[in-house]
Amino acid sequence: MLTEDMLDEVGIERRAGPPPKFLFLPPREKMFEYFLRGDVEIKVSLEELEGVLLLGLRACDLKALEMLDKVLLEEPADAYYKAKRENVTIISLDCAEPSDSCFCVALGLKPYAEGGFDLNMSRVDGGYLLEAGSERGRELLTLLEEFTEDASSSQLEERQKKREDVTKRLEEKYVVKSAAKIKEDVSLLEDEYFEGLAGMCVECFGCIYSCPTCYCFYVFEEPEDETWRRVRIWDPCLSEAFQRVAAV
Amino acid sequence: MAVAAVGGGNPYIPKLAEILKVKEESPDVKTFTFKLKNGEFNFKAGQFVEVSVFGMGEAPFTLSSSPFDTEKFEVSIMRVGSVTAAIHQKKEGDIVGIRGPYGTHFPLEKCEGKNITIVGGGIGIAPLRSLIYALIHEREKYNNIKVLYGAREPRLIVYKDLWDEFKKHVEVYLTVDFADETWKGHVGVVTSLFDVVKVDPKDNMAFVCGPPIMIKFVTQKLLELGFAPENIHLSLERMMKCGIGKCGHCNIGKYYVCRDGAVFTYDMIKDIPNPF
Repeated sequence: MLTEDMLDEVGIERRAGPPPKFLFLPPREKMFEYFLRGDVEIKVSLEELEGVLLLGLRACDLKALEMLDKVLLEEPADAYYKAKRENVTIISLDCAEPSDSCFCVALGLKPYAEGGFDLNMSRVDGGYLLEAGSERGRELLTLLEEFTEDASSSQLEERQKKREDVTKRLEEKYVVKSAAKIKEDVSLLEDEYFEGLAGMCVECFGCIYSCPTCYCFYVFEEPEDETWRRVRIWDPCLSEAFQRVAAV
Repeated sequence: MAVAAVGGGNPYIPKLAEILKVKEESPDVKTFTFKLKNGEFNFKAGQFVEVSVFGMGEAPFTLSSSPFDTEKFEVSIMRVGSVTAAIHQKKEGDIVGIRGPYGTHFPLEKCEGKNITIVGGGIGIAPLRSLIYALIHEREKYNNIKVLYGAREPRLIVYKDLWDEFKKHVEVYLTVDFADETWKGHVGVVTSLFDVVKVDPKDNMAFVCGPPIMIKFVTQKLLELGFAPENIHLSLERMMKCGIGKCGHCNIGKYYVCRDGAVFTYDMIKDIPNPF
């Protein structure tokens, strides 16, 4: 168990605004560069994130990363995403105060992480319970040994109770449906419903900055002096030009 | 920052290739023959490559040469935008970047002992040319082969010098939407060829590529004739950008065209609204 004052300072109870994808799939990224003079020589640099720790991610953030992993790590893996994703340590935190806009239970998730973390923290009276979810997490626990003590059974019970309380509060807010049921409900909606939604869209594309799972990107070449770069940027699927066929 | 070896496991890095030959097929189509600077190139008919024009960009093109040639490979490119206009400026000896081959292929293994109907429209004949080469290479494996090809005008027919060669091995029927004084053959859209060419749907595998509207009407025609949806193979095109199912641009329904296509059976896509 880690004591409370050690972490209050960091302010981890407050959720971070931008989704973790900013770190692994940045809004703009250089893929490689080359010189056009003489023989074409391609230079690639893969940015790795060494010594980076993500602290206070919630279960929903981890689920979003799991979905990005599914797309971007599936072979052939996205080399840029993979290089950054592999070395980052993730310490997640149980959700104690879900906000009014939270809906994890409606998608079959829990407000606490069940996997996908190196360490998970659960706030209990007087501090945090730490649980390792990976080899890296177990190593961290060993490193933290002198600052921590073994959790008592009453603390474990307190964690369980808090988790159940938060889940119940969220479930009261939502009728919990299975993913299959949600899919069925959506399929029954008429086109007019979606036209109504589309009518509200002004194509500002702010959505791609808050969505933790969307990953589409656009690729283009950009010159600087005698060097050219191939660059990718996030590309919103709600843009009218997104699915233009060929004509390049 | 770690500097990776070029290509080393990074699917976005093109391999360098030299242009061996440029052939003008029609006023706006050229066929380019490439050879990788290092190594062989293996692909199957129906697959595509991403061609990089350095200093301009990258675009997808379906391979149009014989998959049995592993030394060199060809794509036929219509000039329609910035990248295609830039590649039309390229000459023998120039260097381009190649990624791929990507995507699914025409299932030749399903065709043995079967009749085959190939329907192409405009530049859509390019992937089918690769298929025709592959079929002719092992001609004895297949039964009757018919090729139906339509272009808008006689001058827009591509592979003009190849059709006589192909006729030695397969039945070839050409048509144009608009004839001129040089044209002695059939006139009408490609589906009108079905009025004069008898096609029996039994044990028949169809392969179609062309502009979206043409694919739509040919598919309808084939279904009317009694072709099974799983025997109608369509080579679709979207803005395939990454080629490996990551960038999202070529999504239709539950598929990425670059990864789950570009060769689809009609059966796979029939429930998708407006698949063409």
